[in-house]
Amino acid sequence: MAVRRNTLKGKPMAENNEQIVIVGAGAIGRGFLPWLFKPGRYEFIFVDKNKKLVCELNRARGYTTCRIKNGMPEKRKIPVSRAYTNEEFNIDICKNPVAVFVGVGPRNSKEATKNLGKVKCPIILCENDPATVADVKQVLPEAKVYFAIPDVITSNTASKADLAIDPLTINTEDGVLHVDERAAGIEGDISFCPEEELINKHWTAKLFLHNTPHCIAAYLGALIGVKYVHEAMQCGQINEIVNGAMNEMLTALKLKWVIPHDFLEWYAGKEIRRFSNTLLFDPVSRVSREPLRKLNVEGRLIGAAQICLAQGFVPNNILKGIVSAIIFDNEEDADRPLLYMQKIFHPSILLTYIIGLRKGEVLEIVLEEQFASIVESLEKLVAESKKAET
Amino acid sequence: MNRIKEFQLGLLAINAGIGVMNKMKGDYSVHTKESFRDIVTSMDEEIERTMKEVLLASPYKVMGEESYKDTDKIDLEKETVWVIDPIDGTTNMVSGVPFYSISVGMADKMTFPLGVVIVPPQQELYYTFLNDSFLNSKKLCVKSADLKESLVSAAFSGSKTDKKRRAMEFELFGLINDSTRGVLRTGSASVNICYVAAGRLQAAYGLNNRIWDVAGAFAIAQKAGADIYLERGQDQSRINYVAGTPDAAKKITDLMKENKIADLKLIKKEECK
Repeated sequence: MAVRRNTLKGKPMAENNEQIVIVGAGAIGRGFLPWLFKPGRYEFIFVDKNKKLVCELNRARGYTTCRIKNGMPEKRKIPVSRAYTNEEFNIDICKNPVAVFVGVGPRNSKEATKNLGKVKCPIILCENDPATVADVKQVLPEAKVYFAIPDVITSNTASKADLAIDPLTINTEDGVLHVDERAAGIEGDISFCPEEELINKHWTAKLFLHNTPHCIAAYLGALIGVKYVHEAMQCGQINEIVNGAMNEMLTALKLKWVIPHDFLEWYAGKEIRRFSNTLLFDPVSRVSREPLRKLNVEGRLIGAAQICLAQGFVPNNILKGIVSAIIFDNEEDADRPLLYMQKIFHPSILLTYIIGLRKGEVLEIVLEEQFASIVESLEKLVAESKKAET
Repeated sequence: MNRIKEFQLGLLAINAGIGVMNKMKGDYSVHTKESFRDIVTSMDEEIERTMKEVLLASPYKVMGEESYKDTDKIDLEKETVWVIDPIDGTTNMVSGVPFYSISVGMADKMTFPLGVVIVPPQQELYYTFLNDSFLNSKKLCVKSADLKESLVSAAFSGSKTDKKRRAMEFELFGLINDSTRGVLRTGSASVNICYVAAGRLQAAYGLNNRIWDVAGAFAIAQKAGADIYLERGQDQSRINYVAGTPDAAKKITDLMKENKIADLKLIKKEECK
């Protein structure tokens, strides 16, 4: 096999090898995706906007990903064929690309894919929003763009001990990647399924049985100032709220959809165990970022509460999650206008203008009525958590 | 300069304004100002008074529609001032037409770094934050559009206007109407310009408008990537302008010049990132 040295301008190393391009060398891209492929089957090319990370990946020519399987860590060194910044990358650099996976966050997917116009292989969006497929198709109308659901919790960091050995180490669970079957053909441990099943079953479960309680755990964790989701779950009151929110969603989904109840029960059980997994180091800062996106009217918090209300009950735990997202306080966050607004505007303004509820709709009435008392209960939770610390 | 403190003050002023509006809904008196077409309500006055109270906590002067006098010593070319319109589109509000806003903007030596505009009947809040513009929780970015594919809105002055001048303005209105998908008159200059930022309209223009009608909305449109051309009017509060996508704004500006209506200049461009 002809092998030549990979340079920024040249082709990747092995002329005949096939490549997997991973756009977004973060939690999903770097931590989880490489585990789906047999070692050595594909070369990995990473593309990321973080220049420092790109340099480090090129310098080290690899990194460690640590998979937590059955409660035990398992490490794998992933060789990096080459890493590029988004500006540097051009698909012509790859001789035989078989797939481009994108995991950059829903808001960044359009920007991160705009120079992939010439890509002929499937572009698989591992984003937390099926609407990103339409977004990317706007910039790549000719491309084969498909949705995928990584059913996994992946950290964007690792334990101090592992980071001391390899600073690029990243932790992941032993998860599953569900991909639209039209992208089938890639050799790997991937669950290909029809689009309808992907959206109706897997996405519904992911959105409401994973995303909803997961972000509630993170927003409550942010309130009490812990670093990781498992630390938030160690707080009794938070654990109770997260479990309560999970039960609310489980009840609503059983009432609303024709998804096998045993699947929903199994899914909910595994999620609660995941959130408490002390080996994952799932950062609160990652899960709680961009609260406005998470407060989208059809999304994991507002959409979840609407489903419960439509089924005839008030989801008190999810309401606590909504309020904790609204009062999320992070000066560095992309959505920090919300931080100023929640301190200035009356809840009725916040709920209608910013969150997008209609004045007089049930959720708006319930939230406005309960807003002050929920804030008070959250303040109490913070105070008690501080007291427990001391 | 990130102007986060000023952004917070702008929000506080809007919050105060909307509080008064909600409280006085249906309970205000109406009277005329410069002409029978130019009306004001007791609500306008109360909103302005309340907003001014908030904004005067900053070191900047406040220029408001209802309290401004031509004799006020404000030099817009040299100073940084808050510019507020307690209700832009008062006639609409009185008539129940859902196009009116409460607007606060900052004019800094005739640049427009910050704006917050609330459109209560549509439950919409437009604002700038750092270098971006938003509508409620959505970031705004103006898309390019050719003049022929543009929907435009015009804003005329409520003051008495010379007949010959008005005939020229109407002729221009017809010319633009026939060169585009049409020209609306919503009755609120700030709503027009915010609609440009939101991509609903491709251009908005105003003749002999007042700076408080547009200061907040200029900042919002500009940071969303719209081009703004303007010219100062007879007195320092008067202004002629076009705000729009680069193509539409340029062509309407050219039409104004060709028809000797106004000679507008492009103010500093901002890209939508």
